[in-house]
Amino acid sequence: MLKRNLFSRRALLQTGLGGVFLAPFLRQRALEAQTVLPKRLLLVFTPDSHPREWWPTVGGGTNGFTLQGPLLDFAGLEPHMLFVRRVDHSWTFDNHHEAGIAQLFTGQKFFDDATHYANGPSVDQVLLKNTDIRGNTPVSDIHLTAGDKGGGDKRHVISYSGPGQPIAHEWDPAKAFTNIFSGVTFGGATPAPAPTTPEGPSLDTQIKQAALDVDIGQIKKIQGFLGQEEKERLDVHLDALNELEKQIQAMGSPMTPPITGGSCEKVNTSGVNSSDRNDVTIDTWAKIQADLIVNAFTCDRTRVADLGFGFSGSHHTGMMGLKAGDNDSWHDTVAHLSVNDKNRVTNVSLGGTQTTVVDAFIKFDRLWASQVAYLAKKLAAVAEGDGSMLDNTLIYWGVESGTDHNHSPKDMQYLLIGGKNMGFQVGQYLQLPTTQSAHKLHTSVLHGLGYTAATGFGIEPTCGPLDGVLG
Amino acid sequence: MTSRHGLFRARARLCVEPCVVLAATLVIACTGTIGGTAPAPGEGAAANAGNAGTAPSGGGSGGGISTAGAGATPATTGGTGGTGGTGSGGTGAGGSGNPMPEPDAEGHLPYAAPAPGPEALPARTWKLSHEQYAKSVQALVGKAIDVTDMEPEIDNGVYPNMSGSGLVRVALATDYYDQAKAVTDAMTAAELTALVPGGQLAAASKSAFLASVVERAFRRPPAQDELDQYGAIFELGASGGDAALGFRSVLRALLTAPNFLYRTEIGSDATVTDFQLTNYEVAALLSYSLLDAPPSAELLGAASRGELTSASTLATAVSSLLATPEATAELLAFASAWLKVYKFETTLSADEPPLPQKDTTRFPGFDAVRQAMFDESATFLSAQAGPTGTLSALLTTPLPMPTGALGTFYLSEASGSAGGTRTGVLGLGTLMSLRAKETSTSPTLRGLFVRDRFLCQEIHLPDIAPPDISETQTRIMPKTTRELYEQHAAQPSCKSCHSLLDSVGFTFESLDAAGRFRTQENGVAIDTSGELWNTDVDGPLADHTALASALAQSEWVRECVATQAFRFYFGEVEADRGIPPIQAARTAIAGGTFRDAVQAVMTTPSTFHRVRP
Repeated sequence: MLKRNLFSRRALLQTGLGGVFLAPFLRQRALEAQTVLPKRLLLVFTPDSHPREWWPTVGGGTNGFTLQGPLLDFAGLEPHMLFVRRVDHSWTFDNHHEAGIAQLFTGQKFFDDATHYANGPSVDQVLLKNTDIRGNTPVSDIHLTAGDKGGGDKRHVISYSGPGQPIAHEWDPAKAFTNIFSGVTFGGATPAPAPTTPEGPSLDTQIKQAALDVDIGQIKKIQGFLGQEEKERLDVHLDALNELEKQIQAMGSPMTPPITGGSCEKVNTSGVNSSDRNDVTIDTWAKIQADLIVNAFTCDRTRVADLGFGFSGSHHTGMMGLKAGDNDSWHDTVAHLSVNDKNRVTNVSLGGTQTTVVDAFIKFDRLWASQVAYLAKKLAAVAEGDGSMLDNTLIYWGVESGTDHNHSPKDMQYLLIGGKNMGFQVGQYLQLPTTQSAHKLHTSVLHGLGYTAATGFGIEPTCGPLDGVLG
Repeated sequence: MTSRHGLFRARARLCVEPCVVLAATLVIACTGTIGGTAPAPGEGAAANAGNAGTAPSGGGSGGGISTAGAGATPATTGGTGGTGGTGSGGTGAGGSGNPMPEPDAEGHLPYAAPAPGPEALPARTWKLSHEQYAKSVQALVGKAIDVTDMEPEIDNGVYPNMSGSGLVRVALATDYYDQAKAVTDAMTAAELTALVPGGQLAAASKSAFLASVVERAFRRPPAQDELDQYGAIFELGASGGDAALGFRSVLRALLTAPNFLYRTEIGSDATVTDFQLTNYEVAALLSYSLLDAPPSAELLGAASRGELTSASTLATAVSSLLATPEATAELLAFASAWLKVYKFETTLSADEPPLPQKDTTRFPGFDAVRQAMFDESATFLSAQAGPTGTLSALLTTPLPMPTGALGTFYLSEASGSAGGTRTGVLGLGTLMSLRAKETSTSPTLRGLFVRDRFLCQEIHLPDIAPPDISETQTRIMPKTTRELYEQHAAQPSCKSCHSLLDSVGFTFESLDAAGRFRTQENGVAIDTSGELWNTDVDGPLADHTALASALAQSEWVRECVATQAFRFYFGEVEADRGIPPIQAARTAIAGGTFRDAVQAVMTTPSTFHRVRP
């Protein structure tokens, strides 16, 4: 006999009495959704670190700082940007590439010595577990990449659900679209709910639901035989099955009206070339992924995402016509020269033109930065509440190594974009009087996004937030 | 010849300083190169799968070397309110009970057998790989499925199918449910009927059908409550009036069942912490590990007779499995994964050029012989790393000169037109070209490959920036790769790591970056001399043939190969180098074949003895 939760919302909705019982509750939640602005988080990673010119110069502009080369595409977004200078990672290993990306958004050490995965969850997953950031969205979180075909190893992953639990990126926009918008009918300002029959779930859906129930029970039974670490791995499977159950339940539930000013439209995912060496096609690829994220937000399909470009130390050999001796890898030549040639005067060839390494590095960095700017501007263009969707979305952007690709945990470059309505003190270049740990910055991010009980983060569980980040 | 010095005793310490790239760019630390070049894309990351060990004090820096086994966590620097001096993960190995010995004052490292490690491995689950899943689906319902569009499997960098990396997230779970529905919907009535004892798609066949398919899906006899659950799904499916849908629904549900998707190693009594696996669990472990496929009826029969948790009958069962073509294929898959031959790509694509990339001016014709070069490796490995191959033969068997275009290519470098010697797996064109750069050889990459794959010594990358390039810009450009790399010895910051690597890699200099013979480089005679230390077979080396002979005598190499076999077949990284499967395989590989080694890996009590953490 199948064991079901007789008091689940799904089960109650299938009865006349249940519908009466739940109706006021559902109306209330819909009302709340219309009046309470959502909080959203987007983690962003770009490869090979930034040159020193990524930092703004002090003075000028309405916010007291002026953007330089790599960030020129952000012009106009200065009031939404918060630079935090003198933040270090708290530990290192080897040349910091793997240590840097592991702790980038987790604040953790390695899970083990074989995989070099992070030993704990990233900020996005912590928020999903400890706050209502998700709201009623059908998709918990999405993880996309461009300029890289994904992969689950330590250098490609920035989000973790737990110790040694990497969340791999989806590189294929078509598949990402299916995963995010399954069941959505486009064509208007609101996403249409998936069709349901008046009698309730179809027999096909009931069979799937029954299988899910059995599968969940089996996992729990197996977990009873396992130690903690193994249990946690199966928790990931359990969470996935619970997600699928929610999707089934959502099929029969009234669709929450979107509260955004943007229309929910279908993204054209065609025309992607997955080369990681062609800046023109990477630009197309990246914009499609960005569009997917923006539309996932405007359609309120999810409120948590991460977007990775390349991977830690990624090469993009020969991209933009780079020629540098017998190795045309951007990482091996340009990024490395930026630290090895302290004067940065060595020339490389870009499309046949001799270019100093500093100019090349800025162009390379701007390629990725322009994609982040594109996304931020799209969010800023969507009206929401009294402001824009960007005001309710924090883009939290990091790289794997300190300034100038210094192969060290020092002078890390995190940038917060948006999130004004969450209290982030954007529109400033915050130069801390003394060096602080990134864990504090992560804690501030947690606070801003609603996890105000967080006393610290990662391996510094009591570090507290960083002064000046939140108002 | 590069001289050794005291730092080479630091097998479990740090190399002092990072390496600098002379004349132009920095390397990816110790794996890097000199002369304005760096490792081929992807090599830097691959080289950095090392094991951290004892953490140094803050302020430490540099790369390091470690050996197989679990170590400690990296160093922490700074903390709240600021960061202090940076430290790095040091080195270490061997796990809690068997720390690795350190080299002696001269840099030698005589082999020291570990104390016996724990017999019991931790209880766990192990998700089927996509390939195993596809085979299991076909075994259950008789229809093939396409898994190429399923959520990619996570390769955690050790081996592709490690038990700890099998995570089922929403996307993969969705794939499982979609696959299950698609394949069962596609089954014809005849195909369904074939799975029903008695051959009738009728309600009366329900119990017999359930008993049959649930047992086959779970690879063990089902419990009554499990039959009841699937019986309820049968009734739900049949409730629409289509009797076949009841049968179809059960199969659909079974294909997403955790008891189908995972092999378990959990025993039968959750209250017992030190226990034996059930015979059925052992059957699944053996079959998926040795054959990459679900257990046969014959093997499950052996499980039902309790033959898989007794040493003598377990050996018989493993021996029988190893005699199959599927086991041979899996053994070769192990060789390919261990030696990373699979990184050599044969297909050309405009978007994604295959690895390795070679300069077409310097190595004309390389792309045209990719397939032949790969085939040469496959043929050699089939003979020398297959069931009847031995470690010694793998390393020391002379490679014949290929006929046809590949042979012509190997002789196409002007100074090497008369040919030369290529010895064993290390002389294969695939590996030589993979462990080189686009335009030149890389003694560092080649030495790193030997240290990593045959000695299980992993070089740590340095954690601080190298000296200013201006310090080295004034030197005279060398004429040969060897001269260039010997500059490492003049740089204390490079010497500590590179001397371990380059002195090994120099022995391959008679084979250029595309695997062609050569006797000269830029008009200078090739020097293939090198030296081996930090091993139990240390000494000067005339060339790579001498290196291969030395490695074939090394007990450290045998332990390393045994360790790699354990990791591949058990899908986990050892907690202690003294565990029975590794030590049994080490002994077996000394005088036996690779099949003997796998037989040894899979027939110790560790195959069925588990402990619940």
